[in-house]
Amino acid sequence: MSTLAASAKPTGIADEKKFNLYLLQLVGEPFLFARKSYGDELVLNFGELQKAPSRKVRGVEFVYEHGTYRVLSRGSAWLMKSGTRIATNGLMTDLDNDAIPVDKMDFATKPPISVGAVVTGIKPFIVLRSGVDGIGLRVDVSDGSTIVIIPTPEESTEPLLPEVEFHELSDWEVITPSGRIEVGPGRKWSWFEKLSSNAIATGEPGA
Amino acid sequence: MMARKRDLRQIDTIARMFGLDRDEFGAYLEDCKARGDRGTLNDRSDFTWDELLERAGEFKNS
Repeated sequence: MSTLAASAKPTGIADEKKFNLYLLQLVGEPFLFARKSYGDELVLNFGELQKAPSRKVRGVEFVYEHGTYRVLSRGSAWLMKSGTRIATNGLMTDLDNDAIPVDKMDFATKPPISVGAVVTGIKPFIVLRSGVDGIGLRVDVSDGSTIVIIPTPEESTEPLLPEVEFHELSDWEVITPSGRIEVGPGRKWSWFEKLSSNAIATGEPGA
Repeated sequence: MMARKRDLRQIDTIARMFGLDRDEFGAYLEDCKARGDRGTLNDRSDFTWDELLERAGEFKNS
């Protein structure tokens, strides 16, 4: 943890108030469940459980469930600490291999956060580490758990397919009933109102 | 092991192309892998670009 603490320092930021107001919507919301999504993305679900209409694909029924509030780690590394348990994806070196890697985690039967525990704090912070000048996120939960999301360096600037236009990948996102905040890459954020693809507020804290 | 940005970019792009909810489609793909309905990209059973396109079309029409 020492490497992480030393390299991620809070800073005074010009857009901090507006940025924090969007994020603070999550405070007080109860934890529902965590899911590892495709690409090893962590999705934390809070609030009220929502169920999408059942689908039948390839002869198999699929029901998508999610919380009204979600934290998505996107391409960032992350760490969850709950009591003496630490789970991580991408921060093994910083933790001297004490943590449980994501592929050995059982989100379904051993949720990393107590179901019903509420978010008590959410705090963005500037991250300066090799190849990264961006914004991280810390989420504190009433059962003592903490989630930390740390942006990681870009993997490659080469196009994935020459004929397809690929969009920029954010470092992390928070989705609420009123909209979605996308953060990064770099020190920038954008707020999208629900069902809109156009950002109505943007900023670059600390830029 | 890190989150795989390449995979996430592909999912984001395909979800936009097909008008799918990105998180829902990502959850569906992980569900497929967990049930043994796997992709052929690598030993993690990830999906190739063409496989993702096929899955997205099936998901869209379900």
